[in-house]
Amino acid sequence: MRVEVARDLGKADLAREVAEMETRHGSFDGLRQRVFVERCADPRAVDDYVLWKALRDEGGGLEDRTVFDTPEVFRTLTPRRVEMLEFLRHAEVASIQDLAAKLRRDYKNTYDDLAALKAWGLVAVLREGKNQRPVSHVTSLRVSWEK
Amino acid sequence: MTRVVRQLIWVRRDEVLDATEAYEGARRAFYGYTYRTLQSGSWLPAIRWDSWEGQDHVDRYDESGQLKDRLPWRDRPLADVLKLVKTFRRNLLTMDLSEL
Repeated sequence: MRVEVARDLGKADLAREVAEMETRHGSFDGLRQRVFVERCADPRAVDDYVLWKALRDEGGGLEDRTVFDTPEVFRTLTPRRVEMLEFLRHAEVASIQDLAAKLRRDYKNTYDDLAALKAWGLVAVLREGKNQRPVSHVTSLRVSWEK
Repeated sequence: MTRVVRQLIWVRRDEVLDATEAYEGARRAFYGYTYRTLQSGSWLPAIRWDSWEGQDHVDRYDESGQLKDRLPWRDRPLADVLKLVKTFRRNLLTMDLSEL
């Protein structure tokens, strides 16, 4: 059994990827120097360099997928959390509090549900000033059984 | 024009195969497949297969995520690497990977 999650990435998402790499590595040139010296001592640095180089090139792009090859994820995908994922797919919220209000749930349960989804990479919580803004990483979710 | 395909494949709740591939047209120009495990709240690399600078190789990391050794490797597709990870999991750390 396999659960495949696809995520559509817009310009804002790609800009955020680059901003996160700048935070991790400082600059593209600094990262390039580091990976050519250290090579695979830090696997994430190599992968970031490949991605950053592609995004700098005209026409370069990123496809982002998550695959669950374990049914353990279904313990997290309760009906309430699936509803939350669907809501975040179609609506922007300003903060966790805003999400809780729009879903008519209390803050603590909303926070706990987000934490559970975040542990599997299904949502991210972006820090924007004092706010923590939840965003979905799920455009589509497909369950399949393969031979 | 380079297209990067990034896949995070969850093998278990505390084990993932983190795959990055770069394509130029239909040609896979680069691959990096990192088997990571969750240790004390941090995702650490355990084994990595990649083609950095055109050299297919497999790296192993110690318990703290530091590079331990490097062996030559024969280019294999992601599905084969995933099968190895799902079959042997943490036992891969003590196996002769060049033979797999």
